[in-house]
Amino acid sequence: MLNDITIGQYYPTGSPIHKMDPRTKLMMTFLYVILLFFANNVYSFVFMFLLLSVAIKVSKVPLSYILRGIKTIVFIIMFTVVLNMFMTPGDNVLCQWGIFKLTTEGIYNAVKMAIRIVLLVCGTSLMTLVTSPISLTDGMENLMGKVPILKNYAHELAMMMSIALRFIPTLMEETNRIINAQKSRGADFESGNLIRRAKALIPVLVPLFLSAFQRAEDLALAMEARCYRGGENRTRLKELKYTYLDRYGYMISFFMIAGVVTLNVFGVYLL
Amino acid sequence: MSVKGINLSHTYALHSIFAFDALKDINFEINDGEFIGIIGHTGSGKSTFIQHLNRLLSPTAGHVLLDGVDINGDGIMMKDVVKKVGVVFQYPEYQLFEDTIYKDIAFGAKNMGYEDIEGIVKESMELVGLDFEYYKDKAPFNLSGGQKRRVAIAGVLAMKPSVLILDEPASGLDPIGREEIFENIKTLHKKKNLTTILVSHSMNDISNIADRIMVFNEGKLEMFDETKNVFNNIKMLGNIGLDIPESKKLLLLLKERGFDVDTDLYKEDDVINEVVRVLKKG
Ligand SMILES: Nc1ncnc2c1ncn2[C@@H]1O[C@H](COP(=O)(O)OP(=O)(O)OP(=O)(O)O)[C@@H](O)[C@H]1O
Ligand SMILES: [Mg+2]
Repeated sequence: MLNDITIGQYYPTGSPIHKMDPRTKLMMTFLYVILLFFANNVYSFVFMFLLLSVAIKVSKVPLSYILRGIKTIVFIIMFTVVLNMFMTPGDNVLCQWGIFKLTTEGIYNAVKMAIRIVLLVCGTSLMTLVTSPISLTDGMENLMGKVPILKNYAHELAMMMSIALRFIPTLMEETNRIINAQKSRGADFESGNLIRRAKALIPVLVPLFLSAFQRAEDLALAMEARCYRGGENRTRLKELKYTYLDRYGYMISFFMIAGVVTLNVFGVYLL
Repeated sequence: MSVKGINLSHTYALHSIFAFDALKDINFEINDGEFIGIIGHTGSGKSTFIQHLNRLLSPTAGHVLLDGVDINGDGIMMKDVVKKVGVVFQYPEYQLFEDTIYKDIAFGAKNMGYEDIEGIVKESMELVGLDFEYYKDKAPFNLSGGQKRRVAIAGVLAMKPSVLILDEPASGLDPIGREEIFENIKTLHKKKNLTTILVSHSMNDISNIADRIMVFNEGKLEMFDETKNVFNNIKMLGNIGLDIPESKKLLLLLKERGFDVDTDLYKEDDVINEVVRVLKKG
């Protein structure tokens, strides 16, 4: 159950994508997400799909790892699809119950939304799978430092994020351990209705929270004991550096923009 | 209750680049009422092994049999297995969650569907040396480390297992706490004739208590023999980064200096008697 969480899980294969600078990967992912919402016809969606497929292929990350992220949000996707199907105003009504109208525009919108969410989740999953958490936060700190409003909080935000990412595996391990201990005492997490199952989680959540608070306190103490006082004047062990791979990365970014714009505009004629 | 393993293997994260063979083709047989010690270097697979004995992990190959019945077989429920095999994990105090000690110990017993919960809780608390009246309404989180651990062990005993498995029950405790826990385990084994399996990094503790010892090394069962034979195999133990008990070291040193001692001995009491005997002889 817990193994489905792919956020913060790094899958090292040593591919060129892994070796790229985290800033490039962040920018490209950001751009990809924005373009997903600009894409408005079949051709641009196919183009976005192909881009991601090539990226996955090059990264050598198994497809199953990327698709795992989808499993956890199937619910959200279904909800969005249903909402879009019945709530989109349109003229071409197929059938109607009260205020709910099923229109061709609605179906079209719903399909578009579903494709967007799936590609968005796969794209961002891919980024976390090919970037180690440390370099990811380094990249974020660096990029946020360049945005005027975020500048003053860049270090704190990045530190919070890296601590959170750092503790995901630890807390998952801890959760697993506690689940094992309670299963050994006959706790049953798999049967019964929703309320019973929620109740069954109490023996896991109580010890988990207790130990999480304890850990947070220990960590804060340890950081203070070593005179941590924010980002000022801190130097780093590994400076971020662009290489030729990043030049390709940015070139591909322009190709992405050009591709979507062109296909959006000329898609009308191609149809 | 007897426990048997046939060609038991376990691979973590099977079919991925993280795949890791944690157990490799393990065969063993533990008889009813025996006291088994498990030793092995960090990461040798001890915890992975014991999780197979109550079905928290299923073997990627091979079988685990309880009294001849495959615990992963068709129609066997998880509940039937944990009822028979009680496992106390490393740092079991992290499993406490109720607001009173009574409720926490009763958790397992209730899950097993037992009737006389109060009687069972009382008995379990007495077995680990906790006064029922004094402790039952206290909150488990205010106890000392050693006391918390005893509450956790009582919580497992309340399920009335026939096999008791303890993973490093004394780690992180002070010497008195250690001694008390081991005394508890010893009396438990005697009183209830529980088949007991104890994982420990301390050769001293293991040597005083185990009938037979399983030696794990890199996922393989390197040796499974009587305590005496295992500790006579000093070279093999050294090769895989393990040691012999201090008591036995003393005898070997005495022998080196020309005293005529029986170096097969290893239990503290036996060793003391042997040294006294030799000293008296002059
Ligand atoms: N959930 C898991 N996924 C992948 N590998 C694991 C997992 N749990 C344990 N391992 C690996 O399996 C090996 C055996 O681990 P195990 O916990 O059984 O060792 P151990 O003998 O109990 O060690 P220790 O004495 O430190 O408790 C280790 O190398 C460990 O890294
Ligand atoms: Mg262990």
